[in-house]
Amino acid sequence: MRLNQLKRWARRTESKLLMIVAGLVVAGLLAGLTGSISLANRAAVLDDVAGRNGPLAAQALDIYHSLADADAVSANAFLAGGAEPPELRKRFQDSVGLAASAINTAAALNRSLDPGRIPAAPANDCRSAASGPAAEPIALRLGRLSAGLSVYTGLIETARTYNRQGLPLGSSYLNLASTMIRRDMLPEARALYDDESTLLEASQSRARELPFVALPLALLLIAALILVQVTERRRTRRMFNVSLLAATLTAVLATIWLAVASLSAISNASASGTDGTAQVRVLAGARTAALQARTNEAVALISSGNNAAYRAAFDAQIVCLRDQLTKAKSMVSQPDTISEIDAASGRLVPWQNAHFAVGETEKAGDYAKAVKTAIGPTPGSSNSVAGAVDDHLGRAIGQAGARFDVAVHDARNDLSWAPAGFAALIVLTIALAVAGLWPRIAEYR
Amino acid sequence: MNPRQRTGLASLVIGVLLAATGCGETVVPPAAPVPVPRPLPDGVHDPADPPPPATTTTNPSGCTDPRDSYRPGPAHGLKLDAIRARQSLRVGMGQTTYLMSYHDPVKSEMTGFEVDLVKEIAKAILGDPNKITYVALDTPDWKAALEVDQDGTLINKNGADIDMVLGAMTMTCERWATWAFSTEYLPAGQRLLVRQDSGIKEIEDMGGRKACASTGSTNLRYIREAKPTNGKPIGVVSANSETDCMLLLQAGVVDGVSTDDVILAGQAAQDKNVIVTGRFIVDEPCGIGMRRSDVDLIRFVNGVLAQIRGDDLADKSGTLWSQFYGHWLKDPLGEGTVPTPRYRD
Repeated sequence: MRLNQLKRWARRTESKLLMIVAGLVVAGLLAGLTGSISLANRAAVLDDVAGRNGPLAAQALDIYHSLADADAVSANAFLAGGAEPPELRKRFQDSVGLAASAINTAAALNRSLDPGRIPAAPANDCRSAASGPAAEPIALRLGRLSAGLSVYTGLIETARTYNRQGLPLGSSYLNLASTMIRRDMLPEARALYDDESTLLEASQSRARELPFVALPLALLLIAALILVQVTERRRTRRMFNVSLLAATLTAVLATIWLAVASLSAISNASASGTDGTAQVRVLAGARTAALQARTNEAVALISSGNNAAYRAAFDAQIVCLRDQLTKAKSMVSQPDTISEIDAASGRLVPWQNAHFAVGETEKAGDYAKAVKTAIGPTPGSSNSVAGAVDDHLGRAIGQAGARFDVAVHDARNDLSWAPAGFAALIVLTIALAVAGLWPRIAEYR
Repeated sequence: MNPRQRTGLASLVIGVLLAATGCGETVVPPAAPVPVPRPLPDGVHDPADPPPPATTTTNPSGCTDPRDSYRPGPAHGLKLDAIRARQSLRVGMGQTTYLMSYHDPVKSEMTGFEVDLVKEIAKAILGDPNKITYVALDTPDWKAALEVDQDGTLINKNGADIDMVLGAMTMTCERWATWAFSTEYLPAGQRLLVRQDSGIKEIEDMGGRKACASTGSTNLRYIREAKPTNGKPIGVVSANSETDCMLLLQAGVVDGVSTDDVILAGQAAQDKNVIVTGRFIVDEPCGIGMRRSDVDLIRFVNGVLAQIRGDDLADKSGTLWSQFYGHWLKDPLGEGTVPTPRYRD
């Protein structure tokens, strides 16, 4: 076809109409594709958050907490002397079992993601070391934790055997095991949790991105449809083209669906962060500080006479715990969680008092009474107060975790039919638009 | 492009697509070997840091032999009366040195050679061997608890409130400048703790092997000064405590631990695979540390020790000292020699 032939063809009304139809079809396809992809992507990210990132972060937290708990329990069991009380032994075994199964579950979840994932450097709170462990593949961290756990339980059993014979090597092996947990394994588990939280937060922020390509394109489609109707009306002097009107209506419906589903999912995804993940992170920091303070208190008694470092560590952990609780309270707006945080905060002064009493009793030379003040079953004993703090924080973390689950679930539900529904409405729009203009073209044939 | 080439290309494309999408056969990556953590106590230095430059040790006037103490004296005096008024003897001692001074978690009481000695002293002062308050006190806290000015008040206000300190404390002239000692109650010396089957008998057999002692102790110096028979140097390892050294010995990280034999005895008693061996690399006589202002107490304690050792007896086999030594230390260390007291006045 020559150029002037083409120009002549284009001047014909029939051709102009054909081009308008083609334009509408292209605009429809573009809006339909980007919209569906945007909705489907968001749903996929939320699936990852709900099914993998979220559970992985939760497992990492379980690993961390159960290791710290095993450490605290074994120190307390040791203080009880000779053969440790059965309930402490059971709690120790439960903690080790939970740590092992959490490591396994985390490894399985990690394999379902990208096994070589190396997360970005994590944010920090009140850990003493300014530089955390370097970024490493999560599989390697999990492998080291798994190997470390078996070495750790071996040390604890050695300590137990010596301790049952009343030999001081028992306390030496217990110290070694505790050192291994605190120096090697807890920082590793902590890094794992930080890694997972960072990845989770990255996914959450992807789920919060505005549909800034899909929504303008859908609006453009509506504008094009209106423009075509206005020009058609002027050209044919007919009031309405029913098909085109219907096409506009379906396009508007599709756009509203896109906007409402996306915005609602975005709002739920950000709630999963602010009401869930962010709170869990600070509360978990507080709970850990509490457990480590508890361990330091017991180890200070075990290594009596040589315990200034452990006493200083206890004080530092209590300061950290207080900071984290203040921070947590400023982040939380839910009354149930606030009351748990307040209850935990309220125990800090009694705990410090009990701790002081333990130290004074020990200084006065009454070791047996000091141990009783530390781990006795009375409500005022250091151990009971620490246990209450741990329970309150555990419940607060549970509540924040539940809010995370609900918000992510809601966000995912907002999107369940949206990608398919949006696509169907846009296809309908295209069909109606073509159907509305085709008779006009046929008039010129 | 002939048909065969075309099928070849097609299968190549399909193969690349499959590989890219991860479809097709699942490739199981070989399990990466995980480095199994080796549990070491905190503060282990292998090799140990080089020793600090030698400080000129001031030998205070009046101390020619650190074993010299005050002659036994009467049962009354300022300090002795204060203890009787309080009805309790306050003793600073470690609680983790097995066979010497150890808090037994099963019996929930203090046990050991030094505990038996202290009970005799409490019995002599207060008439009751159980009127003792044990204050947990380890080497770093000795100076603060014992150093007094001319008026007899503690120089360090945070020092522990005690009447005497036991802890296999070596009598030295340097320490006499700061506090005072009783007469010698146990002859000790730096020896070696090794695995029974190691063939090591003396420090000179440790060429090319590793020996451990606690960081900052004089024991490290004597390990460094040893001349191994095979000409190879001894690897010097330092740890926070002798107990940590024992853990390293059990883990096979070091081949020997070197410190006071009476401390090594406690380690050997807990593991039948290790023994105390070798001569005294250096003498480290044990005395009870007391404040310089409490001369009445020191004299009285020396009288009690003279009774325990049986200083006046030709045959020492029936003495309390032989009884205590036989009960606690004879198994790991062999026959002991009753120390002979030396007096400065």
